[in-house]
Amino acid sequence: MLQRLSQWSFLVGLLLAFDAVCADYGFRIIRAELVPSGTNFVLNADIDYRFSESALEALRHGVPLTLAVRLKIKRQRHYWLNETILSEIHKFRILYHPLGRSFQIIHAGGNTESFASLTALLEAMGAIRGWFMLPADRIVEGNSYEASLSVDLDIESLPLPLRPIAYVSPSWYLGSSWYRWRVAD
Amino acid sequence: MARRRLKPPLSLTILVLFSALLASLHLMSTATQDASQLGKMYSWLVLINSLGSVLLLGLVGANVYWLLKQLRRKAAGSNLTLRMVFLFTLLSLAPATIVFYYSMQFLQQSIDSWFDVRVDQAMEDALQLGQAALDERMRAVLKQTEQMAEGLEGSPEGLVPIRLAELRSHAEDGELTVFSKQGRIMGFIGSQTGRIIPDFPETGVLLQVKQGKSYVGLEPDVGNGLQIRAVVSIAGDDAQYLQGIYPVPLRVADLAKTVEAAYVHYKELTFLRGSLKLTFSLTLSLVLLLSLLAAMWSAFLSIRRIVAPVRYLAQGTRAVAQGNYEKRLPVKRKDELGFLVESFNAMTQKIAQARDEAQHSRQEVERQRAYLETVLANLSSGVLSFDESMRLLTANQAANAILHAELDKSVGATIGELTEAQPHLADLMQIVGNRLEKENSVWREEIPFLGPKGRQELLCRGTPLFGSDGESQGAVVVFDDVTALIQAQRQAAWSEVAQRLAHEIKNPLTPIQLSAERLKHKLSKNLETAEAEVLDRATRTIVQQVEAMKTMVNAFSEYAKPSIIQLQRIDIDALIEEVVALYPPQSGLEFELDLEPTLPPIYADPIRIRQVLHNMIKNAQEAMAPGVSGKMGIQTRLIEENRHHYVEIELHDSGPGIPPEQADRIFEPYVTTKSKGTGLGLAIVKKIVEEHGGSIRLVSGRGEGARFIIRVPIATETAAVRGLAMEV
Repeated sequence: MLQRLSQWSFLVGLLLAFDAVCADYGFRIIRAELVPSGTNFVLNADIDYRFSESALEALRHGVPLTLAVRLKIKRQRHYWLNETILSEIHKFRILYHPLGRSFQIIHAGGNTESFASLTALLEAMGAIRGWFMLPADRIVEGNSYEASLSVDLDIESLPLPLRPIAYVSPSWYLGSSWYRWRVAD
Repeated sequence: MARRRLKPPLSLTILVLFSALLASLHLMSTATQDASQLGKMYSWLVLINSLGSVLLLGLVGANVYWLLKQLRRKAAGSNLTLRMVFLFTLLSLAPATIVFYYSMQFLQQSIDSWFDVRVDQAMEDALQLGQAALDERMRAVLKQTEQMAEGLEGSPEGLVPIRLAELRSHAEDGELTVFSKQGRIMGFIGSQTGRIIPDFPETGVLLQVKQGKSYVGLEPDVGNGLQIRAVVSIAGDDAQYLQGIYPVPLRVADLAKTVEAAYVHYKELTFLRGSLKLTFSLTLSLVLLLSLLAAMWSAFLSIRRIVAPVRYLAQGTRAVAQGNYEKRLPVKRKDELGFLVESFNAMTQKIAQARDEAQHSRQEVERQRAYLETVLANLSSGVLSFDESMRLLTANQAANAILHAELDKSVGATIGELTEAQPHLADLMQIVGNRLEKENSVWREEIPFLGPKGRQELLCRGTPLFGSDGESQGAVVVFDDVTALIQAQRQAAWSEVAQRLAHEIKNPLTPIQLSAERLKHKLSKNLETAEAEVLDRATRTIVQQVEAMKTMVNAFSEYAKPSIIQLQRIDIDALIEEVVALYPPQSGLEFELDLEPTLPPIYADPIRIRQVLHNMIKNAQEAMAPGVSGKMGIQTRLIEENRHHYVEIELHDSGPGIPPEQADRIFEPYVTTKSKGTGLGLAIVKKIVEEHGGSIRLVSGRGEGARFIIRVPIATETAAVRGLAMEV
């Protein structure tokens, strides 16, 4: 019984993985780094956004999509659990304006950016420059730090009727895996 | 265990659980209907309600499993539970399903009715209208910007801001920027309300312009309005670009935004139509599922509570059927079923009481029976009882002993079968059977019985038994072995006769003897020698024979006359030694004495005991072959039997012994194995010993000499005297 169940779950898992590969959607972080900017460190990253057809269709039909970029920086400790020195989420909304046939990014702070095409929007979204300020004094020489970055589509921000479907449909599970890198002193 | 766990705070738990689920359902339904604050909790609510459904499903499943187990075990009340659960489920399922079906229909239709092709078209048209209006404006803006760009053609770099200001004065209020290919700002005029820093176009637009295509686009501005952005290239050696950003008039922008907002909302709704239906259906299904499961669970619980007394009753009945009357069922309710259980308890209690009483009386009867049996067993009379068809019912131990048969093993046998099993009872049983069949009243008869131990005289009394209605219930036969009694009677009679006879014989003997002597005395002088000799011989013979006859008659009368014994304390060892001393070795007997020195004194008549010893020694002497010297051993010892103490005197000789065929009768008068003697010696010994309350027996047969054992009880003086007094 248990064996059969595990066989089934393996098959389902395989199918899902296959589906995800074939569907060719999902977010991928190509590069990320913390660069000094004045007295702070800021994040520069390149992200490859590939939305699924259902997400794009919803966007074109006026459904705003919310994306969340998460950054965590941890000080590595050998003797104890790692210390989190930064854990922030930056959320931004993208939406379509049918009147001007343009796309718009609305950041959490209220800043907006407009784009004439989806490609331009994706490109602009993909190039993260100077986000998340981390005071430079938080990074102490001699310690080692690990940063991790992820981005995903926030299902909870979708319109209510769409949520149940989004929770059970793989094409709505858009998100990158955690991208980790060591922060150089 | 599960039952107990679900019991006491059950109603409260159910109430709380249901309330929580209901509240959650209500919240979810509210959240579904309007996207208020609850919208954020929607996913959690769905999750909670799903978990609630799973929990209820688990509970229902557990109950179904329990029911199936009960059914498989054929437990009491399980069929009733199944039926009621089935009925409850059907009753709740049917209306719920109908309501669900029509609700779904209604839901689908009402959502579909929101959308209309005409409204759809109107929305599209409105948007296009807005776009057309704005397009015209955009074209105008583009044209104006292109004209400005023409105006800027050939302007040296330093003059660009001035030229820009000139051009601006002819045009409407807007933000103008001239920048190079590298993005260097060469001239900038901000709008009256606008920014200080120019707003650069996005890279896609730049790319388009660099390819020589002008760009114009509508976009939301920083505030709440709209702006038109136009980017054109300025003809010249260096690649320069002019960007103009013009705000759309507020009124137009407001209108356009309203149209757009309505359009977007409508478009979104249309897009979400399927999802909406799904969400509503999900909510509705969850509501239905939860209420159905809750109904089923409560059905199970209440049915189990209803059926519980029935189950108890069935268990109780089963227990009673198995004979367990101590079973008491718990009474937990005040309704009719509770009353039923109470009545059951009262009933079993009464049954238990009745059983106890029956058991008690049975024990009493058993005790009585055992008592009667003991009495019967200890009776010296034999008792046989027969049923109405003359089958043996009971036989006591005395009956077995008297008849030398094991009658208690033949209980249930008819008289005929008894005869077959014990042939020596044939005559007796025939007589008894005949009497029992014929007689209707008490009868008694002396019946001779020839048993394995010789002839016995039985005095039988038969009593037919009748029930209260005069019906025959069999009979009881009581019999006694009166052989000894009859013998004693005969002996007494014989003794009387013997004494009289002895007296009558003895009386003429003295005159005969005297007459014979007188004849001899008178006639012997007058007769010839030869004749005198004859006379002398004849008279001597007469005198001798008369003397012999006298001795014999004396002995006879001695034996026959009732003796009077004078009891006194005697030392039996001393007495034996005294008597033995009278027989010197010349007497032909050599004695070997083995006397127990610590013998207690006995109470006896010394003269009679001496006579016993003399008789025994004489008996031994006479048993010896003439001229042969024999041996005689005398032993005394103290023995205990049945808590009575006896002195035993064992006497044995080296004579030829007693042949077995005479051993039984050796103590009877005139029974002897010897040529000499009167034949009364041992009879007298037996008489004397028995007069002292003792016994004598022969223990060895022919070939090894005769061996007699005399046993005399050791008793206190008073007891001995009393015993003798009773005997006399």
